Amino acid sequence: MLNFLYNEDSKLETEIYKVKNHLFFMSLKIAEENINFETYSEVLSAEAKEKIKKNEPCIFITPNRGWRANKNWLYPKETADFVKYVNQETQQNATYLSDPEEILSLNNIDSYLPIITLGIDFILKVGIESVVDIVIEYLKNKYPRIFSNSKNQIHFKIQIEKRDKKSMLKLEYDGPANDIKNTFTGEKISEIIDRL
Amino acid sequence: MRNIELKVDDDSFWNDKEQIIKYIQLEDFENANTLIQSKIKFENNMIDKNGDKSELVCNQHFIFRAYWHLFEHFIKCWTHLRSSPDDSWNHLQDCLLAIDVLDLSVNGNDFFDSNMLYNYLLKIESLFPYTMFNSVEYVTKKATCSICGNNPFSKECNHIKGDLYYGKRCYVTIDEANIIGMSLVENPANKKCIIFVEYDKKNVKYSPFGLVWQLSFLKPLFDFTIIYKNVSMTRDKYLKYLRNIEKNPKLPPKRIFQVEYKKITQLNKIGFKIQNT
Ligand SMILES: [Zn+2]
Repeated sequence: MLNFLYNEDSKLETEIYKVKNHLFFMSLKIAEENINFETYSEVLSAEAKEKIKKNEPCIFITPNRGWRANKNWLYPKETADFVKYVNQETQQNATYLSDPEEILSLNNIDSYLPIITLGIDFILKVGIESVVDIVIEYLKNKYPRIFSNSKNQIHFKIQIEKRDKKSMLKLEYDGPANDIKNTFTGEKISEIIDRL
Repeated sequence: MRNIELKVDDDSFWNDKEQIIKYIQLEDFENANTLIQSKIKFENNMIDKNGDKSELVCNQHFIFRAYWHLFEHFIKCWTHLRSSPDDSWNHLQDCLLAIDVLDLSVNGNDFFDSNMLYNYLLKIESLFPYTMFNSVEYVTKKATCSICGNNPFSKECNHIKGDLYYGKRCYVTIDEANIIGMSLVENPANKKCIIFVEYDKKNVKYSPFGLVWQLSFLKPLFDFTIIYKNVSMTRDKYLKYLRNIEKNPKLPPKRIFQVEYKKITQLNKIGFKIQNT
């Protein structure tokens, strides 16, 4: 038993690597959520309300509720920089769905991006690819070394309004930065669009 | 401002850079430090002089200053290796933070050889016994941007944390926060939040800093190789080894390492190259 630990150490590491690699392929979870813009009605900012009403193609930066025992709506600390990046460096417009009041900082080096909510009109006009590209460009700009380091994981969620506007499709990515592009393939994106 | 184009008008930058590296490699830390301090002073002057004129010039000099700071911290890191390796760790982290600033420049990687330096520093980092770190989770209620003094989430602030604005790097001060929890993590946000390792400063060689102690006998800014050896033992031998660890808990528990001298570096115009001898 003890000998196994020593002699087979490298073999064991390869196995662990394989298992991890397998998990990376599963880094995107797609699920239907019983939510829509109405769900946020109690916290909706005036600006967001106006834009939703006018059907403006906009990247809505969305707070999260229910972190541990916290009942408040929280944004991750990466949010402000991401919003400024989108508004200053890209053609798109990012708007806070609710006015940011409380910011959550988690305890490791991973990057937690805010939840991105997209209306169905945005998807039809702009597409999912552009949003994924913005995320990748943002990370490249801010953390140039993150793409060669699989220790740093990226966590982001995109919620897309379904055609019936009654529920949303939630895409949840947890994995290394250099795997984002491989995960959101053309095939995957068509599959997502079909499910809307 | 990101992607800053770097330009050097006179040769003094290259000459001084070569000279500093040469001094460090010869372990003439006093002369290296004098030169570094004069360079830092020069960059500070340039930032002050252009304070409200040219943002680009200010930012360029900020990046150059980070480069000199990198060598300043490296000397501190190296000279503490043998006597107080825990201090050495903090300076090593400062070196890595300086590389963060170098990454802001367009030609960062080629200009400063920062990839080479980064990998070299990571190799040194891997010899330290720190594997788990303290980390806090907190909810911020009030924060201030260092550039404009506004809440970074407000419409009035358009500064991105970590970017340069007129020779100043934007950071965010947390004024009010609730701590939710403390954790031990492998990849913390701040690697200076270590778990203190107790050791006998007079006997670093046999402490968990034994590998760092070995490193201190190599030449600074020369590449080295770490050979990871998987040692196979009989059951009896292994149990003896375990008993040894029990008697002396400061022994590194899992693997046996060996640091080997290898390769000599050669200065050139851009930086230093690794060559086989
Ligand atoms: Zn600001």
